Amino acid sequence: MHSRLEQFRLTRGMTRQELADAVGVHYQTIGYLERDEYSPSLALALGIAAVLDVAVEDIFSLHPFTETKGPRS
Amino acid sequence: MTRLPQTGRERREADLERKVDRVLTDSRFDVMRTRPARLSLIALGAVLVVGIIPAYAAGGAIWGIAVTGLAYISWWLLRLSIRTVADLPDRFLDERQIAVRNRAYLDAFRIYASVVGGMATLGLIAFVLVAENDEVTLTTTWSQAIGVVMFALLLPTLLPSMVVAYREPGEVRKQVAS
Repeated sequence: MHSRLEQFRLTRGMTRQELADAVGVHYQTIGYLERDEYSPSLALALGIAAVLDVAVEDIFSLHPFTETKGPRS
Repeated sequence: MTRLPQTGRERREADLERKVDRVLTDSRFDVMRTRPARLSLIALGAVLVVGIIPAYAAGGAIWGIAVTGLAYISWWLLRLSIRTVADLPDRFLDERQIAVRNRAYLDAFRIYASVVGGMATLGLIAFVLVAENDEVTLTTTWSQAIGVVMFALLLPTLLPSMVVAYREPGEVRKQVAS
């Protein structure tokens, strides 16, 4: 699983702790997600997408993101 | 208005929640949450648990109790280093922590079964080698017997925390500013 979570979180001006509190996980788990070291459940992925107000596939993808094309390349 | 805990059980639950919240978020023991510190604590715990048997056997009850106490202290330090993730119930953990804890118990069971099974196998081989007419006379002291029992009790106690500490990388510093 690949993610652009850190990019979206920083764009929204949120800390890991704030995002973690918003979706009900430990702040370390946000770090694991941002480093692609943990694949979230569907519920957590949808929850994060809702907090960041983007589509879940914009944040998480089974394929690596490319700078130009984005997640659906 | 917030409802205050009324019954003893509610107060205990509220107290537990405060303690868990503190251990999951505090940064006082971060020095023990680095990768080298966790590996050191695993090594210390392993040495002390294994050392319980010779401590009781050779040093008697005093040495045995001392090493047992140190092993429990190393377990307490290990638990702090992993924020007690290996021992908390589901309601205090998020989905990743639950997965880490569950995997740790599976691995701990396999390690424990291997160690105990290996010791039993070695015992059987020794029995076959020294037995005469299928009989062996084994002389032991209370200290030696207690040492083996304490080893068998403490190993599964420490193993889940050891596995979590080994599997988890050192903690990433808490990001306060974006």
